[in-house]
Amino acid sequence: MSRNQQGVILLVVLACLLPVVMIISIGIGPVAIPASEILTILFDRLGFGSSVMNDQSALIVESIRLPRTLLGLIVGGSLAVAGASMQGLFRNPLADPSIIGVASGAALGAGIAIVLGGVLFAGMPSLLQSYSVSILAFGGGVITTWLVYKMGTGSNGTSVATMLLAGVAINALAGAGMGMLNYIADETMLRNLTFWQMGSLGGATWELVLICASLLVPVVLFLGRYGLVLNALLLGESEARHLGIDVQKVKLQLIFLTALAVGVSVSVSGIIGFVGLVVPHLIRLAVGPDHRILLPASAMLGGMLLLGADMVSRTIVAPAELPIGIVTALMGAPFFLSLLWQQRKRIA
Amino acid sequence: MMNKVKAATRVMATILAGAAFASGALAEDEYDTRRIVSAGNGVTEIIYALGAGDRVIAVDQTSTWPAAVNELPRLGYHRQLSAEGILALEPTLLIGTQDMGPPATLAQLESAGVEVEALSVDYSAQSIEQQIKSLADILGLEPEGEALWADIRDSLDTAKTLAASYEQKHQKKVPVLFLLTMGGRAPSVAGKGTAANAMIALAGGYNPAEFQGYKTISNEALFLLAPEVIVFPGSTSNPDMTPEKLLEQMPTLKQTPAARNGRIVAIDGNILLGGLGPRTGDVALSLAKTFYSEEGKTNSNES
Repeated sequence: MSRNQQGVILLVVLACLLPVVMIISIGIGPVAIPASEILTILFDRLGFGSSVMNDQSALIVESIRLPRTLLGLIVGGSLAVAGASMQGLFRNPLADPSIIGVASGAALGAGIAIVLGGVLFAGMPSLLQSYSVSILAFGGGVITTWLVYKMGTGSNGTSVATMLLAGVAINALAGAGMGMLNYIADETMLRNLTFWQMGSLGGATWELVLICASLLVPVVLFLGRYGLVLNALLLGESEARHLGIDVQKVKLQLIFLTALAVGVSVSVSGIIGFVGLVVPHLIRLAVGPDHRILLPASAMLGGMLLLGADMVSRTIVAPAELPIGIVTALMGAPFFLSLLWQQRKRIA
Repeated sequence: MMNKVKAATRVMATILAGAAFASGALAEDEYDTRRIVSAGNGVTEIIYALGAGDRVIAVDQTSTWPAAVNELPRLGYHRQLSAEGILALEPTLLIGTQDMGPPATLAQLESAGVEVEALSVDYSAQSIEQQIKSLADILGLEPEGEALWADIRDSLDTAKTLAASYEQKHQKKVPVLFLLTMGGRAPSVAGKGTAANAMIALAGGYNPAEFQGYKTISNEALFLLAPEVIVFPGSTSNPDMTPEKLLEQMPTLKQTPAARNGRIVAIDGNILLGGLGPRTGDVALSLAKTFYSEEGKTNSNES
């Protein structure tokens, strides 16, 4: 069977699994709700017939689990697609959205909002105040990305190596800023900072899901169209140029789109590591590096993995919740290591 | 037609049920306190001190006293409550402080029929009194509440009297520092706006550290603050830490007046972790006794 066929089969399998994982995610939680009841509630809300049901179950499904599942799907998918695009663009298997500074910049922005927000947003409308962490996190991510991009861009176009180095330096600078904020924060702010950095989908509301979906779904769809271009870039930049691709323009677009995807994801859910790094690798190990398959497959697998991690996060220490960033790192890192171990000859 | 009849029956049933409920045991109480979830150290301690611990079904991470709460399910950090986790426990009432959150969780709980009560709390004796009063009201245990506060007030008053007589004699308060130590690194000192600071004040001492919150300070700065008493979290929360060990880890402390007079005191750090509570009176009194007990010794040192 050719790689191409394998890829198509993988896409079909993932597309079939996706709704199953979603239903499981809606079905699992500290409150036990039978599957039949969940389907009844879902069908009822979709407008198919109406039946009498347990009000509390309906409330849990409708206003807690459904938005949370959708948010997990969108965020997980965006992080994974952003990771796949970055790895393709930088032609570096270690590239992760955090390398170009989105994650650390977003963390710094969120930190500023948490620690200094009381002063900075004092006279602002309350709507702005309640979203101040998300707004500054997003702003921080975009600004650091822009800085890294500018540092890497000279008269000869953008140098990927310089961008990576600039990313390392900007990460260190943002880390120093975080250290400073940690130092002046009181205990409450410290706890908030720590929890924010460990990520959570617990804040999911319909409002948030709508904002996220309207920004991230188009970005993911756009990124999905760069499959052929990224395939050409794999050959090398000058080769891609000879194939008629405006490499400089593509770089700018990809960096902008990934910064948007990661910035928005991080601003609603905090820092969730490893999804962007591990998911594209898993797909590549299965069906090879064809970006036409890799991008959509990463989107689906990323969403599913994050839903899985979230199920663990909200049930394992119930009635409390384990921050999802801990779960993704705890599940992702050993899994990734074992894959590396098995494949070490092939990779080397 | 059928529907209308059904609706009318349901309304009737609701009214009847409500009437039966109102005439029952909870008559004077607008809260349903049968299954309480407590999200705050102080709140939990007061509920148990009022004798209503058997109605508590789950507590947050900071609640560690009395020992009975360790058998209960844990909600995690009280700012990161999980709506579904709490609903699974089928509570009737969630009580915590103004720090409880996130707001989305509280709203979801309320729409699921759980009453949510957030007490406003700060580090002061008035706040303890107010919390006891509110909780006694909610639980329908007003006499118990008055008795509990009277006990605490007596202890605090005794501490105040001790402090006042010392102050009159020496024309100054005792400088007290609260130290957090982390394995030989520079210690963190409790400044203004901390529970430790409030405890020092209630015990009649004063905190020479002028900054906000906990800050690490250098040994030199420690000498400048010249504490006559050093308090650190030890006893049950950190049984391995004794005054001797503290001095061993930080030999420079030996040069402070507190160490020279042997007035380094361990207190249960958990008492301060979640703010002040019903045990504050006892702790403040025992601290006050330490501050002012060896007066003769301090006196001879000063002269």
